[in-house]
Amino acid sequence: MLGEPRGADGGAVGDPRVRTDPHATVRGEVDAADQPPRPCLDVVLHRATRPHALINSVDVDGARSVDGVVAVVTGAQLYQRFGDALMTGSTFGQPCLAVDKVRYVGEPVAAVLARGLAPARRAAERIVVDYVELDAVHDMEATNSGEPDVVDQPHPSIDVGEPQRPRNGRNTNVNYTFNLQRGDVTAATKFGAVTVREEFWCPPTYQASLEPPFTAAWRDGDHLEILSATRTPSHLRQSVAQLLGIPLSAVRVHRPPVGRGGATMHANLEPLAAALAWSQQLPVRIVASPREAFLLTTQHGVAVAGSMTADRQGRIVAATADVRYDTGAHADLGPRLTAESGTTATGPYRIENVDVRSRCMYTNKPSAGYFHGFGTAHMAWSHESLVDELARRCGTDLVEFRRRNLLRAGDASPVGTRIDSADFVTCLDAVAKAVAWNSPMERVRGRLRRGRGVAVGATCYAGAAVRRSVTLTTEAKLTTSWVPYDAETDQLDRVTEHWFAGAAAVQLTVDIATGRIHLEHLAVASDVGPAINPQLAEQQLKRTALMGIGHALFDQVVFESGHVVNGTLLDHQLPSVLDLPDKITPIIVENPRRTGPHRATGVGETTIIPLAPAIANAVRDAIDIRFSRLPLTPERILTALAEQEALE
Amino acid sequence: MSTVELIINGVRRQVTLDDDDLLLEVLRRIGYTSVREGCGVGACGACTVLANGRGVSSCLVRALRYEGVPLTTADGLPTDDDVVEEFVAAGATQCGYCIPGFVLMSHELLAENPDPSRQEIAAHLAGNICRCGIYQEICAAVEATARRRQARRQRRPA
Repeated sequence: MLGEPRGADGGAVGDPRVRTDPHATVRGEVDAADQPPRPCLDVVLHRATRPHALINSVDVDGARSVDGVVAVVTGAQLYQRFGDALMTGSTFGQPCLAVDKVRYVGEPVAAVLARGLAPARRAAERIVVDYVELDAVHDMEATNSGEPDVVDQPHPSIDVGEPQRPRNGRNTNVNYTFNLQRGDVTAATKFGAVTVREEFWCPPTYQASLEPPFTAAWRDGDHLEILSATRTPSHLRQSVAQLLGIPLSAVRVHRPPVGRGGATMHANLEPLAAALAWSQQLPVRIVASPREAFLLTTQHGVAVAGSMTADRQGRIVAATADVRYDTGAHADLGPRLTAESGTTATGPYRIENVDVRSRCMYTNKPSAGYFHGFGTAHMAWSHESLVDELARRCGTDLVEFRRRNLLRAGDASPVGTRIDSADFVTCLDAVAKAVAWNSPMERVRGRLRRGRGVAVGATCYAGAAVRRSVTLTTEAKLTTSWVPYDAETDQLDRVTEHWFAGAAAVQLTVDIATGRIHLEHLAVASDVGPAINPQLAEQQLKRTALMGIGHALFDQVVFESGHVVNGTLLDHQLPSVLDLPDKITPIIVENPRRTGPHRATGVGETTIIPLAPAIANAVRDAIDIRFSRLPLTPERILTALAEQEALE
Repeated sequence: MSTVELIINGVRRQVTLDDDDLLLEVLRRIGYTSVREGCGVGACGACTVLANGRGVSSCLVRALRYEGVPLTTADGLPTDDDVVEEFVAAGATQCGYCIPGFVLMSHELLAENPDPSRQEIAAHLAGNICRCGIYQEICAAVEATARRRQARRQRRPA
């Protein structure tokens, strides 16, 4: 399948190679982030205890009197120093210390700088904040009219330019809307043969880098040096330069060799460290405790009300999705996720009539952020459940039905852009073959019910075209060669041709006595272009699939009145070695791109995206119950089985 | 504050510490880079050390209690350690943060059970979290170490 001989460019591409210096990494001699190259003051934050409140006063006298404390800094002080840049320089309207209002439990209100962690902690506890409590918006159901505004004065982000769309006026907790319209959904649905509808829910989850979020910053003359396990050093550099009002060349980002830093694409400790180091002219480090890490960010909770319609020939003729992303109190990456996954909300299928409304909403919770899949796993949960149900209703084989409708190279996706070469069909066929899709299986053994399921996963990066176009619609003075989305339909013929294709198939058992799901065989495939390093590519496919198993079976952050109630790894389980399927088959599909370095594309994300629906589709196959809410906990399975029995 | 003698990787070190300092804090403070904080509640295993050969979550215990107890950290293992070599050979490292904890737990397991089944390996490593999720490679590394030791035992005359 590979179009070019390996190693045409000098040898390395296509070779399975081991990582550099693996012995030192395995023995732990290469250190993680939290040792900056110079002595630093420890910073501990006093965090908000109210989900939504005005700050009447911040009493820091008690904290200042603690032995070892060098300075105590409030949001008001930083605002005085940096002005509106404090709101806009880092993320979308999120101040690194709350200025006059707190918007979620855990929002940093004041920072203590001390010689040593112990005095810094003691002092932070002595800070007293006088709040005037406001009504809070705890979930998206409450963000209708008449509810309090979470953000009364949204600030456009100066680094990525994602302001409100003009059609969302003030007095709303919707901060961004993406409306995708193609064809005539109403007519197509009316004339279609079969329509399925469902409301889906993916709860917020914790991204969980094992290493505690960490940063250090120090000033070196006119330069700022910052150490961070960030995944996006360029973005960090840009936002810190803008916050401090200094040239890009005056900021240097250091990244440690160990650690994922994977949880947060835009961590929110770094701008604060930069602001403190710069304004106080002191070297500082901030280490979030494991408990604090849960307050920094989550993956979005997402609701989708979707439908799909097929004609008599088994072609999907219409699809709708009404999507809501719960972005928390500050819209950091929310608008980007909303637009980028809005384009995939109806799946990687050829559908001529599409209606998508994707909204990003404020609630009084920590700002939601990035995770693998960039919000598209939530879309797959909807479209892969719907298409499965639609195929069943049409009486067609579930693999064949998808194959008939999948996008192929050169087809226009619903957003209007022709896709390059994402090979969904080969990925789908490969995973189906791996689990012996059409072979008979023992469906019942004692209290076990066996089933198989399949799903495809799609993501696309609607990069600069989207961002620039959004900027254009609100700031007419900007000129750019990019063409904006159509103002009404959000159609654009050049959003992105780079779709990433993946698929998963699973054989599992459901224990009807305990509600436990056991994965017997999981096959995952991804079209990676040529595999740059086949060994590591396979490892990526397997390990992101394991993260997907967590999302499918047990991951969720539980909020109660704005408080995280399961904010430790004792209460929020992560996949362990016990969650490995009996067998995992990773399959690399190599379908070189038209463009791009080595004609390759991303690896890994595309196997997390279809995981949860593949498992739920297999559960549907095993026990004849369709689940629309994640995760598929034993409790949820048993409750559904009891309801099923009551109906019979 | 008191000064106690800790025996770390066979080296005796005089360490000044507060009575309630955690073993994790103390070991990191004096340069043992392989001992790491993950969850702070004993649920992830990133802070694992061996005390008398037994795995301990150093985030849960006070350093003072380990005065005079032989401690092993992963960065103190011999350079040709067989578990380390098999982890490298199996590609059992991704971001690398949690791996030293897995290496020590594998040592503990193989000392107790020289020929563990896949289920026994999984049961023994279930308290360690690898967020990158490369458990298959980790299990393969443990199995390979067991095979290597087996072969060495067979070569040796009785």
